[in-house]
Amino acid sequence: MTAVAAAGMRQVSVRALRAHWPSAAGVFLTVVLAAALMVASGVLIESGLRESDPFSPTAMMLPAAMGSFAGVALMLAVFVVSQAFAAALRDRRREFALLRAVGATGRQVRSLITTEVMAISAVALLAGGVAGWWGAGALVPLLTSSGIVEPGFAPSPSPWPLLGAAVLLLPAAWIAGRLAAREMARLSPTAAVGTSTADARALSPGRIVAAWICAGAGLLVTLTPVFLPGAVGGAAGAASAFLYLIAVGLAGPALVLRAATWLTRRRSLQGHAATVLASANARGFSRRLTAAVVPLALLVSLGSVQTGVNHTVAQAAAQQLGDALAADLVWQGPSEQAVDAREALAGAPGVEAVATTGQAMVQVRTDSADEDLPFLDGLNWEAGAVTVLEDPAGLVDPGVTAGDMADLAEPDTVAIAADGLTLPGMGVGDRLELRWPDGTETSPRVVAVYERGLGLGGLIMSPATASSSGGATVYVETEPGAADAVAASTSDAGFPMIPAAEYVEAAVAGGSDDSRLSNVLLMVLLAFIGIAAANALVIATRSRTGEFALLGRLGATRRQLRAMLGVEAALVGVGAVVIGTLTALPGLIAASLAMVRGFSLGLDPVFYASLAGATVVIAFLGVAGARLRARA
Amino acid sequence: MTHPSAVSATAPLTTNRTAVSLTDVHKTYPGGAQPVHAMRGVTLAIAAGSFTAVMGPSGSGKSTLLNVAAGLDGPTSGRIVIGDTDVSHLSADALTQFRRRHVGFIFQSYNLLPHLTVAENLRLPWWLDGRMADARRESELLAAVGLSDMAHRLPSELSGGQAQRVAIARALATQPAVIFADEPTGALDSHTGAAILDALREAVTAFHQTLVMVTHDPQVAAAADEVVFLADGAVVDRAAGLTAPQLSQRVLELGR
Repeated sequence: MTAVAAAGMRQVSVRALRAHWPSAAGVFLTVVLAAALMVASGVLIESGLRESDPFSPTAMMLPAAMGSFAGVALMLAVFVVSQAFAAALRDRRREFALLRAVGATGRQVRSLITTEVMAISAVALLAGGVAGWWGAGALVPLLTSSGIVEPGFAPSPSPWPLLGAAVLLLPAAWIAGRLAAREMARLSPTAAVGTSTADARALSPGRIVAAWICAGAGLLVTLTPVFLPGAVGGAAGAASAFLYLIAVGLAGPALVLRAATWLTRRRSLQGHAATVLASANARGFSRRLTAAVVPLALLVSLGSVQTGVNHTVAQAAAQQLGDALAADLVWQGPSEQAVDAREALAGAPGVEAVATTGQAMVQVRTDSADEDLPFLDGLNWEAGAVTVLEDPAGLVDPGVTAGDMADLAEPDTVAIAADGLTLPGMGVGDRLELRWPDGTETSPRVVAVYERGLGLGGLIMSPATASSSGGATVYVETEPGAADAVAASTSDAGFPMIPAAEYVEAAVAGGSDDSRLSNVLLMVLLAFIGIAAANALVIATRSRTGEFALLGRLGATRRQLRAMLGVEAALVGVGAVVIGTLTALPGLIAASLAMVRGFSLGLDPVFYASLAGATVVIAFLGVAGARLRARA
Repeated sequence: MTHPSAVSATAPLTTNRTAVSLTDVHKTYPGGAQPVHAMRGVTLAIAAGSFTAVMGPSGSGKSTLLNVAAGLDGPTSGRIVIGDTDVSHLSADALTQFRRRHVGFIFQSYNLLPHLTVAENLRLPWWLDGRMADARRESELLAAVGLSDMAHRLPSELSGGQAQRVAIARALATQPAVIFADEPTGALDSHTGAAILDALREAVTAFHQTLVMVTHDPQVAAAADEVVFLADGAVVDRAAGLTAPQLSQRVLELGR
């Protein structure tokens, strides 16, 4: 192709972008936000990994706190960006069919689309990088107040987060463009000869197969918590909801078609122009409707799964801690007083047995070192808290599944939780590699594996192996009926105690110290999806100006058109809430079955209601900007 | 409007050559309970430089014939030769390339890209072909359809008649072996329609093009060198020299 001719095709692109600037701007904004999310979390994670003192809060907590956020943000960003490109390109089907009719080969249409998609993505990525850097800075005060970073923390500048976002987002955009282009290029040129702009009806066999695969993979992931309870199960909930939603997105047009056909056959709905038109539109434009419903469903689904599973995990932790403790009373204080407290409490009348726990910070090697990327060494170590347990009477029952807790009395030994996220496949006799705050490295032998990891933490050692720092806890078992008397007498002696049930409640509430941060991060994600979904709806509505004009020419009043759009918005909103809830349920149910006694979805009714409400509001906002002219 | 003397580099085609030939072409649309047989064994030869009108009742397969003959749609079976090339077995991309070089198409719905100017729409076939637009030919064509002063307008700023003139100029742009027109005046009022047909015929004559046009209008068909009648997906008659009322009568009979 000569340079001049290439310039000609470029002009076709530029003109197209100018003509479709609102949808191009919408997609651009979506990619900017997606890139900003990824860059912001990347910047914070990298800053944590680069922190020179591995036992500072920044190094211990920042990568972990942002890592789980980044995982979800990543799935979301890729999903939302591909959806946005697909929606924007779908509205230009006729234009591409026209090009085909005039003599553009499938290849030319593909390259036109790819060039456009990549140009938008590249510019948006840079803008998103700047926004993400700014966003990371804006999160610092919240991170500081949550104790996740030290005061004075500043993110370290580096090109890696932007490169990472580019490596993940650009291929996603490219694939979305390719998939859309494949559909366009396959269009028979005769499609342009006719004036019909309705969606192609049949789904390709590949798409149907992909939908089944995603649904199947979703089911597999849903079942993970059954085999791997604990935190891993929590992560699985979100992943399964995603997979179900992707399956819905793939099979959506066929599902919408069925639902709409069913709706139009309802006698009660016939006779109202608005409902008849709206359900006919749903039937004729099943892809467009799917594109509107899926991002909104994602909002409901992700919001429900994230909050629900978090709540279930907290509940499971409380249950495990309660089950593990045979104590009646609990004393808490600084570790310097622990020895005195233990002595005093053990000697108090009415006390049968005491046990002491303290905490020590440690880093566990989870992966072997990679010499090529030394700064990534931080990724190979995971921060952990060791429960230092002195319990000769067995007041704390971690639920041993292998080995014997009594062996902890030997130095250089450790017990590990069976559902530990970081140590899959470790068993009795294996050795862990640990790094301590004073710089020493040890490799204690695993002597027991226990199941109450959510309640007691992932590692247990005896004072023979580790010395505790910070707070200490003394558990006290009293003679039957003597609890009140013991509590009163030890309180007078200077060691006030609280009932064990109260302690369990407080311990679990303390575990959600950083819940404000995770709430803020969840809100950021939900806002991102909300904007992307509203954007997709506005694009879809804008592209229908011609359709509204046609209906106007046929005698539809503005009122009727508004009513029709209202019914459609209701269909979209309610459909999104139903699909979002249905895709979230399996993950929530599995988490509940795997982790807690009794059944609980963990969903906060008020939060769920506001999610559903926001979804319906967005659906209506999306059509509010429709340009209706009664006469056209 | 334009005189043949103003036209350059146009190889004169002799009328005894065949521009398009179809041999036993079938086209079946697999649909629902019963497949639709839109073409049932059509055999037809179109002489180069001629003007052929295709008539027939609604649903007789006129548009399918045009789409298949023009390579917009593939035949289910049969052979189609345009110029010297058998297009029935070309791959999709090869067919598209062949089509944009050797076939012009004028649609009822104009099919101009809305965001490209008149001149850019005209240049599109060259651009798609990876060639430089021929500026001289471009201005010749615009002059031929009477749009010289509207080169920079967008399609939304044109009347229906003007838009169809752009489409005619675009179909002529690459000097195709044959131009297919599917009711090019169907969306226009009769006065504008007549003017467009005049422009089309003059351009086709001036540039020595072959024209195959589907039409409902006996007046239009009466001006053709030959009229092909279709019914139920098959050629049922060919006629030359009939008057408009006679043609009208013929189509009515076929529709019964």
